Amino acid sequence: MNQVVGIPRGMFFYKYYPLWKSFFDNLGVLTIVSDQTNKQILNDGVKHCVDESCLPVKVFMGHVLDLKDRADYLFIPRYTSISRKEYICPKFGGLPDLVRCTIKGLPPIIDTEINMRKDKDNSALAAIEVGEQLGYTLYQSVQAYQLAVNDYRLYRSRVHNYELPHRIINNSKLTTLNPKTLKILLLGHVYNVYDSCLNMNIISKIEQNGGQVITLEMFDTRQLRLLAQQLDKPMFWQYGTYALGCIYSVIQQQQVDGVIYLSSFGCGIDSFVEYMAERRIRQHTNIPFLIISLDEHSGEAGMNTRLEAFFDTLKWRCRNENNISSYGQCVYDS
Amino acid sequence: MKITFPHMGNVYMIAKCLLDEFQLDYVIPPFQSKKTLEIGTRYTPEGACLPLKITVGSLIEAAELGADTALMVGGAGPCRFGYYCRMQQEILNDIGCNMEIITLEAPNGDAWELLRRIKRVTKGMNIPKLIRVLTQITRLSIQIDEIEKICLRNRSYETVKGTTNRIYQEFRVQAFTTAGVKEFKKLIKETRSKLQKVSLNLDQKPLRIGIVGEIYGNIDPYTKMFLEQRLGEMGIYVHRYVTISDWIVEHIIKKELRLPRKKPYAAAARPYLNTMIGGHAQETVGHTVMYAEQDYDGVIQIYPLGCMPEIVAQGILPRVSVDLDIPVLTLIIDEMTGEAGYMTRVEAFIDLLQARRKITLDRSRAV
Ligand code: SF4
Ligand code: SF4
Repeated sequence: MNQVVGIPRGMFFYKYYPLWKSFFDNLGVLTIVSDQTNKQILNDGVKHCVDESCLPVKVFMGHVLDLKDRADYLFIPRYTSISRKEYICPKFGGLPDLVRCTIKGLPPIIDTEINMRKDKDNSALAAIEVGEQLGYTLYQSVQAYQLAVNDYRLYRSRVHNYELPHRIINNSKLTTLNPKTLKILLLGHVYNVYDSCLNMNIISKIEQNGGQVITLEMFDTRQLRLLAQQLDKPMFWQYGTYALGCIYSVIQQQQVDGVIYLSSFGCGIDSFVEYMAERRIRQHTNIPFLIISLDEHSGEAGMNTRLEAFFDTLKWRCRNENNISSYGQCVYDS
Repeated sequence: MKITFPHMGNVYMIAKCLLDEFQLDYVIPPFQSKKTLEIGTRYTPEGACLPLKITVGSLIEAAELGADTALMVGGAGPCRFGYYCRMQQEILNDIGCNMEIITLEAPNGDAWELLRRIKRVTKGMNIPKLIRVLTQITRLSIQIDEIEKICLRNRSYETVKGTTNRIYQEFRVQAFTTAGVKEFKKLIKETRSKLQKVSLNLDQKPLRIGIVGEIYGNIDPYTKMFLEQRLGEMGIYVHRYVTISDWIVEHIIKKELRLPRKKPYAAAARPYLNTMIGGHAQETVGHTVMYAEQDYDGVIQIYPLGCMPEIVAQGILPRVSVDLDIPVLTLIIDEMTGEAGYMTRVEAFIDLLQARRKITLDRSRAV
């Protein structure tokens, strides 16, 4: 049984890849991953997707095209919900259908539904279903999944230790937390924050400017949930709950020097979350806040200028207000 | 406490009846206009969907008339509508508008909280009365939709174009000054009999178009730029499954009470979109299939820019269109949409449908 399962490097890839990769490995299923996003993938995606869609979904189409002729199956689970009583963006629920209706001549799609809205163990059931489709017994799948969950925990704890997910997954050089740098909370969906092509290398750029990136995935989710209870009405998107949890955490602890919100142009969820985040930061703190919105037309030069200006403000603030971040001392503190 | 609520098609008629029955003090915001949209757009984040912008505009206009409390319905995703109430509240706070938004929903299934909120509005609690009035206005909403349905049919067959529209506009305006369920029933009855007297030419075989898409754009005549009226006046028969009563019964009451819901569209949509993803995406796909099965000439999908579920549906519709041989036109509306460009596209679509019909006719004659 030498079937190859193709995993597109888009949407929730940087969130769940280690889990599924380990699951397939444990079963002995070969997997391939589409290339890292590049111009070709981006252009193909844009060409093959409804114009009105947000960039991440277009990029996803590009990844599917990249894998199309190399895999026997495509792994595009239907994520409807990944936490109790919460949803994710409607586009995830319709993703397999969208792919199927847009691109012709695809290998069979494994589109098992993952819906943890009512039951958080649903993802184990989903794994069993996936295993079944590939011809494995219940026992094999359960075992493979249990091991996968362990691996996934390990991965999560590395991320909690300030290692960036895309660097772990892509095996690139890891940076450790340096107390002397400016801490920047880079807030956004996983597929925006960790896809270096889509976000025009924003993380490296922040680092070049003397900053260090903290992301949502590095926070303790239980903590975030508690903090998000301050909202008058719970956000019913997991991302929204966590993102605003991060914002409340920053307001409380002031552990970062600046906040950058990375949004997709035309993203329905970002349009709401970004507004609520900005309001709260500006009302309760004087931490600089910058919104960068991504679409297929955004130019790199524009982003560079805005980042530089942002860092100028940060450094200026440090010098003048002697504003010392709680992680350590500010570089420009003299 | 002076109550108000944002506009959404004919919802104001129903809300008004409800408030009248409880003898509460309220204002209805003026019908939406360019000004409403301008105000809404100014204060709402740019990426928000159009209905939020319009409703915010509507609420600010109501505040100018003295309203200090607004009623909204809620929801819990996955689409943005469920968070409208909080967004509206924060936006209004930001511009220093003192209006409190009360969301009529049972948060996390907490029915007591819902009752508490209702009690705050109605000042005192009379559950039997509440239930009676709610049943009455639900029935009313069904009757109002019937009026709309007659209008849709009339418009395409009427001998003197514009007669139906005149009656319908009169009805909408009169509704502003009609108080209470009883009066309202009378108004509906009168309107219905007026509509039934409109002289029709039933020998015509008008083009038949089905309308699908996001709910606000579907049932709010201003948002969809009076598309149905216009098509009707061009002699086209228009049908739409998404209605207010359907929304109230299926999406609000049954959902809050967790009752089983009717979903004929779900089965129709199955080969293309096999799940509920929020908003009306599944309806959009399912209804398109249903229209194709009923030999409609075409389908128009209409939705506000950036609407997440409808974008998914839009990506799926081309496949349905090819498989079932039914032309589909997608109209996306935002605050910048110019009427002229929009109507040109609709007219071109209608030309296409007419040409297709002629070909089929010729073919069947040839056989
Ligand atoms: S959450 Fe936003 S960016 Fe992500 S798929 Fe949905 S609309 Fe696109
Ligand atoms: S259905 Fe579309 S337009 Fe309506 S609230 Fe949801 S995203 Fe916005």
